[in-house]
Amino acid sequence: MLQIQNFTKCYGDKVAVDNLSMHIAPGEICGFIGHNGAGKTTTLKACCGILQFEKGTILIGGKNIANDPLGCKSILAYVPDNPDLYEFMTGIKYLHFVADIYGVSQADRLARIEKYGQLLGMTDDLALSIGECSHGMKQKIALIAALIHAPRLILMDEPFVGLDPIASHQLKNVMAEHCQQGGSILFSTHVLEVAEKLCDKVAIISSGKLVAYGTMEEVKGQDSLEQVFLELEDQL
Amino acid sequence: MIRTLLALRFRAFLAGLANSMNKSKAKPKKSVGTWILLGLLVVYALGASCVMMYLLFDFLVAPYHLMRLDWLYFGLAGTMALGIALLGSVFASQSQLYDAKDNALLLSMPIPPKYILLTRIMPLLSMNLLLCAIIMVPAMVVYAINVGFSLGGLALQILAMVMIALLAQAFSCLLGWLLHLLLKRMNKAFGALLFMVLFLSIYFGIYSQASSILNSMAMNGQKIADTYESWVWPLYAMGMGCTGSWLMLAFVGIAVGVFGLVYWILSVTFLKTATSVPHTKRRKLEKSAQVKNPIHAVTGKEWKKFLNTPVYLTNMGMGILMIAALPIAAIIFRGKLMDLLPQLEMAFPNIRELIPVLICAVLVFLSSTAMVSTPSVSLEGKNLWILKSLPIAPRQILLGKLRLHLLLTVPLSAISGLVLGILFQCHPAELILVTVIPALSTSLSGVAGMVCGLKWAKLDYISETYPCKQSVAILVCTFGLMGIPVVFGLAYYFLLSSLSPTAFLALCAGVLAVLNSIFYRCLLTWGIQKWEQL
Repeated sequence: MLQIQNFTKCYGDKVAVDNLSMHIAPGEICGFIGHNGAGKTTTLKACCGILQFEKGTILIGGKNIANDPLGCKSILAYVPDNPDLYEFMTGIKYLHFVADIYGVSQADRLARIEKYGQLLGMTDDLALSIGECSHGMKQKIALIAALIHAPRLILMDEPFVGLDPIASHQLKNVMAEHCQQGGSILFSTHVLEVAEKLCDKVAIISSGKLVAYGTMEEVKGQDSLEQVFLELEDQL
Repeated sequence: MIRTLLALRFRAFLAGLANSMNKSKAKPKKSVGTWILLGLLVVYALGASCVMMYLLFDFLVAPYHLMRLDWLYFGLAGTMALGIALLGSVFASQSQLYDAKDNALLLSMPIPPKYILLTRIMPLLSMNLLLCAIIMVPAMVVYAINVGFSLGGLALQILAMVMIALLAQAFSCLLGWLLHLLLKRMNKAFGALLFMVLFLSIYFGIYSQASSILNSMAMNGQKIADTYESWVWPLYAMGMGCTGSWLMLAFVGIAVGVFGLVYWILSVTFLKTATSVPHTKRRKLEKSAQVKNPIHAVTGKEWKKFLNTPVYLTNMGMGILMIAALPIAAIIFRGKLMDLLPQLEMAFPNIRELIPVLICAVLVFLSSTAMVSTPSVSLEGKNLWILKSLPIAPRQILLGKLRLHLLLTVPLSAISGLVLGILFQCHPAELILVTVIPALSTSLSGVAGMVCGLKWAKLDYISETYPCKQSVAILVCTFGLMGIPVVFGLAYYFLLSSLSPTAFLALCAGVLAVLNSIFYRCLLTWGIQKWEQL
């Protein structure tokens, strides 16, 4: 579903991500772990076509994001770390706007708004202006918007930040359900326990370089993910 | 601490200007040209205003000096400066003091709110000083030429100007605070538009009567002087001070005192006012909505942004309102206008032939005040990721944004032109041209505005005032479009006077159509690339 080959992104002279390669198959959840500024957000933004990059190839469902950005974007969804949404819209208007761009039918969008709105406890609050919503509420709206077109790949940048415990739990269920239905997820997180419990695969990035990548068992063995991560950081 | 904050504030202002003009560090040579262009525009705007003021004060100085009412001359200049500065800074004060995006960040630091407030007021005060100078400096020059010059007098007049700016800033802060409190209780954008319409109605009311007011001021100097002395004593003191009286001390005391009092009130309430959350109404959730195609969805989004962003709606909405108000005013005052025509014909025998040209010139000029599309790219700001991550082509995004501008302005300006043409009994060919030219002009303002908005896009602004009022894109577009009727007029006067007005208008329509197509092509080629690079 997602294939990243030799991806390199520079900001001026600084190499933010250096020759990164990884892939995520349908039905897999991959956790993306690294210190602040390691290159996680850069990689996620490049995968969803927000950032242009110098070297490498990123394929989404077999399509190249550089050559066919619209084809790729139509089957993926991106949830940023900071949900800066249109504050002049109500939550429901924003969801309809996103659905309009994806070309989601009236029946499908209403069913999904109903389902995910209830699941995340947001249905009534969707009538509020986004400017009046808390960080957590905006995060929930961004999540519903990401799910409104039933994407095959979801890219999430620290999706659990700002969510209340119930919403966090529900989000984990949604992620698991998405992957059971053949979808894939790549998400960055600093909460290693969550990654350990939720992910099939894990990728650890440090200073732009992929330092560990594989199935959860391959990467952590008998240790905890936290121990592995700290040991890797010490070695570098 | 204050010095650091002040430096930050002024640096942010200058950096905002520099960044938007020179995004690419690899091309410093281009930015020099842009700086020169901006400089010329500023000189043009300031020069035109100063000349206008010079002529006005030149009319007043002699009678007032003869009546030994020199103080009233300065009192009137001070009143005008106060009014202009107040008009120009109330909305800026409201948005810069209370809507600045870094308020929360600064308030979270160990900085006393009064320092944050003071350092926000200082750039506004500088702006007010400039506005006051536009009025007061010509008044001083006219006085020095006609009555006499002394260094002491000049020093007192400059002191008066600074104090007027301080007083204006105090009132604009107070009104900005009240406006902010009002906007929290209603739709911000509509509240601001209403406030502005009221404000400008008063302004234009006075402006429309300017000639009779001016004559009355020249004739009834003593009466006005008595009124000033009894009702606006501080301005009487200011006027007396400018002519060498010790009353200047009293005026300085009043200005500093009022500013100090307002500053104290605002600094006590700043934390609460700047961080208070608007009153939220629980609305009924309406889940279903009309399904739209991507371009219409972007237009709809832009429409909501337009309606819900006070500074956007007030600045561009006023232009749209003026285009709409022009034919309505012409219908209401048709009788007076028709009575005026024969008198004008005596001075300008060809005036009837030139009416379609004048209608077009006015509407083309007004199109430069309704730049809906220009700030739309910069206004994406931190939300840019949304459109970038969605499966929508840049072409559709740009066309969706442009569509709103065209829908709001083109039909309206065409109808305005047509109504004015019918009112002034234009011939069928002229009717077509007075309909088509305003439409082409507003369409050009949309397309060229989008191109300029992309060229000088600035996404990291602190206040929405920047992309809507202060950006290079707005400056270049507004003055560029204002220049079109001037260029056409000069071309007609010097080169094309042998053409009939109708043929000249047809030529103008052709030029506007060509400019439209050039900018449209530029938007869909260079503009798309530029959008992708943002």
